[in-house]
Amino acid sequence: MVAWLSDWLRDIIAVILLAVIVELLLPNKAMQRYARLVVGLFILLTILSPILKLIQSDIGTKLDEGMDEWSRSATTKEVQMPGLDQIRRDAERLSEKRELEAAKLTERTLEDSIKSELTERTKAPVDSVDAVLKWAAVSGRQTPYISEVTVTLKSADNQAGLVREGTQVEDVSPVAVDIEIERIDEGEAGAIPAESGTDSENVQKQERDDEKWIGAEPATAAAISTLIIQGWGVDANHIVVRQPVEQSNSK
Amino acid sequence: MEMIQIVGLGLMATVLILVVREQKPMFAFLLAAFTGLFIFLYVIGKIEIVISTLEDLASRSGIPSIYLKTVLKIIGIAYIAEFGAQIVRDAGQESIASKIEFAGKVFILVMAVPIISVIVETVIGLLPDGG
Repeated sequence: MVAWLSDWLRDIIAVILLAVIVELLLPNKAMQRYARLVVGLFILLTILSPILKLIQSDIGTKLDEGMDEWSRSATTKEVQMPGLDQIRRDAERLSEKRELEAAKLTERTLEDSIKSELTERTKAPVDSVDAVLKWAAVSGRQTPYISEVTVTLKSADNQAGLVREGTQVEDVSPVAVDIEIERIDEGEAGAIPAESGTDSENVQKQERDDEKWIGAEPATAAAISTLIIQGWGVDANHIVVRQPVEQSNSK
Repeated sequence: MEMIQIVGLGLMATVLILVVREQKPMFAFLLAAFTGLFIFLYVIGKIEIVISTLEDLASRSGIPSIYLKTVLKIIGIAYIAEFGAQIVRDAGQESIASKIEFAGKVFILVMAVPIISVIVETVIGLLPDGG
């Protein structure tokens, strides 16, 4: 108890001594009034410190935080020019965005040119061409290459006579299989426990509904792929030629 | 000894200023400003001893270092504002000098804001929630 009391008294005496020296150091009377206010607050804090410790223990850290925040806000207000790092980061972000835009544009023009070339050369009923560009580092720079080309032909409804119905149903493209598995998980989860007798029937129906894409007629597909391989140097494994299932056939 | 040097410098500067002022008031002002700056910087070096003593006192008695930091900032602001204001006053611009002093007072008051906020928070915490 006595030790605590002596600690407290020593603090008060030290702060008052500090206040006296500050008063001596200050240059003129006008400033003295303002400095006296701040120093008086310090003395008040010191005298109140036992109560402050009783209520909340970390008064010093709180004061520290307040001061830090104040000085930080004062300095950030002065420096409004962005630093070099900030500028560099901005530049990087902008160039990334620009490259992305450029890649998109390249993809679009590539698709357009492939489509026009195909319709002109093979007379195939091309509906859309989807090219996927990927980036590879060649001698330090990122350069795009064509990783996959998907050619979609018009459905048999729209082009009378070109596609024979017999061959269509068997050729199921792998893409369609993937979609089908997901659909079963979502859509059939509630239906299967209700009536298990019609299970196989349901699955069959599902299969027929989901076969949106089938492989195109082999002759047309081969012609299209050879053209793309010759013209754009894409690997044959990465070319998919497909067409929508004829609606009247599946119903 | 140093005191005599400073007083001698001041007297010399004063005589020179009185001589020059008749012909070139501009040079008289410049001379006064530089003399003031020189004495200020010379004495600022000496004040380091006082500050180190204060730091010693603070560390030995266990006052939070933030108190001393704030107090030193206040003294610095007061001195710089006073010095600038006096130079401007010498040039005859009383109004600008008083503005500089005003800025100094404002900055000293801003120093008090964190302390006041801590005290206010404590007082609010002291009060019971219902009342």
